[in-house]
Amino acid sequence: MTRVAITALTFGALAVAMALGVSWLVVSPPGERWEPAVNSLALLAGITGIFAERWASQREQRNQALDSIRLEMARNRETLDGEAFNATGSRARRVYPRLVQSAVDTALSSGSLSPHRDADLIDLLHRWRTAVASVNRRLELTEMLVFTSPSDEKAEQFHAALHSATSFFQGVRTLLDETQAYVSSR
Amino acid sequence: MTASDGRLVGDLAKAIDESDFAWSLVLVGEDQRDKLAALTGDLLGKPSSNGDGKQITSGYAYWGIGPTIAWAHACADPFYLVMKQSLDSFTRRWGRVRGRVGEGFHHVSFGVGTGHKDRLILEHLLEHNQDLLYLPVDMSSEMLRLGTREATHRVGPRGHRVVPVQLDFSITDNLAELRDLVHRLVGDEPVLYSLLGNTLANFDHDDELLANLTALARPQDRFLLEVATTEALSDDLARDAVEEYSRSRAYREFVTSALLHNTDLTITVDAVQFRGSVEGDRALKVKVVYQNQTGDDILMMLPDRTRVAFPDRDTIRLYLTRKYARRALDGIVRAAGMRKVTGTHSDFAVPRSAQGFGMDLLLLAPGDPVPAPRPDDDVARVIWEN
Ligand SMILES: C[S@@+](CC[C@H](N)C(=O)[O-])C[C@H]1O[C@@H](n2cnc3c(N)ncnc32)[C@H](O)[C@@H]1O
Repeated sequence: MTRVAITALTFGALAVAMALGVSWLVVSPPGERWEPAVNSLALLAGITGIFAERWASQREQRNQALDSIRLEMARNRETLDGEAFNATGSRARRVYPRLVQSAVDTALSSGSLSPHRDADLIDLLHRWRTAVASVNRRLELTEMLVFTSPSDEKAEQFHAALHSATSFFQGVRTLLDETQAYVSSR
Repeated sequence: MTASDGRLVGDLAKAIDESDFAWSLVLVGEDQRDKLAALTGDLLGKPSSNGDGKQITSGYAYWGIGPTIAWAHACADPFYLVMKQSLDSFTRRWGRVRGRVGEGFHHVSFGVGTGHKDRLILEHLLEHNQDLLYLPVDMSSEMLRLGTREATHRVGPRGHRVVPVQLDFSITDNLAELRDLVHRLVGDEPVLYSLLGNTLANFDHDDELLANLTALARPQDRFLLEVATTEALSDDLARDAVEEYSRSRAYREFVTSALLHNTDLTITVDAVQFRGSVEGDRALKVKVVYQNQTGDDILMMLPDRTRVAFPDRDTIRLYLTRKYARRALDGIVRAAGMRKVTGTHSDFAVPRSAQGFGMDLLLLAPGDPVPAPRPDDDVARVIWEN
C-alpha cells in the first residue's frame, strides 16, 4: 500500500510541477521565459529518465538470464553427449551425472523474463524444469536398484531401458534440442 | 533279452569299434513314407501371396542328402552371418557356460547340423565321463551321418556309445518315446540336452516346441539353448534382419534345395523373397518364400508322383526364422517351465550387421514350482518408460 502511495505521490508531484512549469512559461512576459523553460525541461528529463533507467535495467537483467540459461543448456548438452549416457558405452554400475537447472530456476523466479513478451519461453522452461527433475529422480532410483542388486545383469537391464527408443530419456534429449534452439534465437 | 541277444549286441559294438570302415548304427524312429506324405500335405496348401499357404516346415528343409550338403555349404559362407558367427563364437561362449554343467553327463543333441558344436560339447563332457552316451537326434539321416562323424571324429566316444536317432522331434508322441529310450539307456545319470543354432526359431509354434523338448529334462538334467537375439524390435530392424539373410547366395541355395530335391520345379534363386516383420513383443520374424513369378500356372510333381498346382504369384514358404528380443527371453524360458542357470551373450562383431544383433547361449534347468518373480527388467522399463 505504501509503495503505491509513494509512487502516486512522486508522480503526482512531478505532474503538478510540470503543469505549473508550463503555465509559468505561458504567463511570464517574453523576456523572462528562460527560467520557466529550463525548469520544465529539467522536469521532463527527470520523468523520462526514470522510465529509461527502469527499461535499461530490465533489459540487462533479461539478457543476463538468457546468457546463463544458454550456458546451462550447453553444459547439459555436454552431459548428455558424454560417456556416461552413451548407448554403446560401458554397461557397468555407475553414478550418473545429473542435469542442472539453477539458471532456469533463477530466471523464472527473479521475474527477469517478461510475462507478455516471453510467454512461450517461460512455458518451455517450465516444461524443461519438470523433465529435468523427473530424469534426475529416475537416475537416483536406477542407481539405488543397480547398486543394491548383487548381479551385474541389473546394470545391463537398466542400461537397455535407459537407451530404449521409447525411453523417457529420449524425450529429454528432444526437449533440450528445442529449448536450445529457442533460447539461441532470442 | 537272452544271453545270445546280448552277445549279438556286444559283437556288433565290437565289430563297429574295431572296423576301419565307417559303419554307423542309426535308430530310425519313423516311417519315412509318412514323412513324405506329410511333406506332400504341406505343399497342397491354399494359394497365398505371402507364404501362408504351401510350406516346407522345419526339418523338411534339411531332409535328404541335397539339403544336407546345401546346409553345410551355407554354414561355411561368410555372408550367412547368423550361422557363421554362431559357429565361430561357439567355442568362446560354450567356454563361459560349461563350468556350470557339472560332471557325469550324457548328451542328447536336438538337430546336429554339421556337428561342430556337438564336438566341443563332447570334448568337455568326456573329460568327466568316459562312458558318456551321445544321442544326436535329427530328422535327416544324411545330416545325422554328417554331423555325427564331425562331432565324434577323434574325440571319441567309442562307436557303440554313439546312438544317432532319426526322428522328427516336433511331434509330441515321438518325444514321449525318445524320453523312454533315453531314460532306459542312462538310468538316473544326468543328461545334457541341447537345441543349438537358433533351431527353435524355425518352428511356427516355437514356444510349444521348447516346452515339449524341455519336458524331457529331469531335475538332474540340463538344457542348452542357443538363439539369435536382438536388443530392440522395430520395422527398421526387421528390414536389417532380412538384409542379413538375403546377402548370402549359399543360403538362398540352401533354402531352395528342399524344393529342388522334392519337386520337379525349375528353381531360380531370384524368386526367393524375404519378408520381415515384428512378432509382438518377442521377436523379429523373417519368412523366406518362393514365389511363382513365371507368369503361368505351373503343375509341380512330388516324389510320390502327386501333382500339385502352383498358380502364378502363389508362394511356398521355405523357411521361417526369428531373432528373439533379449528382454523376452526370460519369459520364453519360464513359459517352457525352465529357469536360467547361466547365460552368455555375444554381439555380432561385424561392421555390416545391425546394432544389437547377436547370439545368446543359455544353460537351463527345470524350473522351481514357485511362481517366478516379476521379470527384473520390468522394473527398469517401468522406471524409464515415458
Ligand atoms: C539350424 S540347424 C542347427 C544345427 C546345429 N545344431 C548348429 O547349431 O549348428 C537345425 C538342425 O535341426 C534339424 N531339424 C530341424 N527340424 C527338425 C525336426 N522337426 N526334427 C528333427 N530334426 C530337425 C535339422 O535337420 C538340422 O540339422
